[in-house]
Amino acid sequence: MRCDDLEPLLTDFLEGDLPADVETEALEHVAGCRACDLYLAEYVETIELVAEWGGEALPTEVSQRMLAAVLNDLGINGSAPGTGS
Amino acid sequence: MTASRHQAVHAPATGGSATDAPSPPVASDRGDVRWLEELFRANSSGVYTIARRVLHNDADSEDVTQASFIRAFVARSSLRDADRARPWLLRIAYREAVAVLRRRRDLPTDPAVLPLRHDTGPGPEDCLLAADVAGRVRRAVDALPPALAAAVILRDLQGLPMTEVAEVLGTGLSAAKMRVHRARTLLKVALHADDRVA
Repeated sequence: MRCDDLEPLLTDFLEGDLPADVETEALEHVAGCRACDLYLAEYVETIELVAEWGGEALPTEVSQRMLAAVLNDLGINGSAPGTGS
Repeated sequence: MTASRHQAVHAPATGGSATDAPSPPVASDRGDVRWLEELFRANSSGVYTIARRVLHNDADSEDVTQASFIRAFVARSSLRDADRARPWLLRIAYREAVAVLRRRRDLPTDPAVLPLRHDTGPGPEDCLLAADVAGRVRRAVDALPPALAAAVILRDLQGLPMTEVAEVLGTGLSAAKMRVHRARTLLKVALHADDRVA
């Protein structure tokens, strides 16, 4: 396997979806290629950074206001106990 | 992120219309309302995150978030498997966001081919975030084309299996994998170009 062959396989590699023989080739290539080893490390770190970012956390007051608007638009008056908690 | 993808939500057994457009609500029992509230608490941030990455606009993203839950409530009888409420809801939200995007007449209609967003400069909130890793990641994700941003958020942030990412995006599995990979590659370049994050 060459360096150019590895890059398009990374998603399947990390998902565990590669055929066993191709996965073995990929692992052997990474083990012997400093550039691909670094590339894979940065790729995985990128995935971890997105997960750690966590996305948008709506402030409680915004979330409560939005839920109230949803219920109001649906014509539902009064919410179940604990709304917005 | 406060939403837990494992939080149990139950689909009400009856009620509601499966039509596409929200219709005036029918009288709902408390179980229906409680289901909606639980669905909202577990997923409102996730839905907003998807909408925000597609639309790059707070007000529109809030509108899409609210519209998504209204549409989900109206169509609740179409949810046959309560364990799949999250991808079902996220698919509704993604389609809502793309519909809003398409109504912006100056933009292409396919989010997969939209150009990279050119940052117009940091706003006050961005300045506060710029110094930390989360801010950099957020800005990098914001710079992705909407379809790629949605794909990587669904897989790497919300943890959906690749099959459910494809379901939410309305694509085949291979296309979903390709979008996730392209997004990761662009993010890797953005986050590692100048210096190391973390």
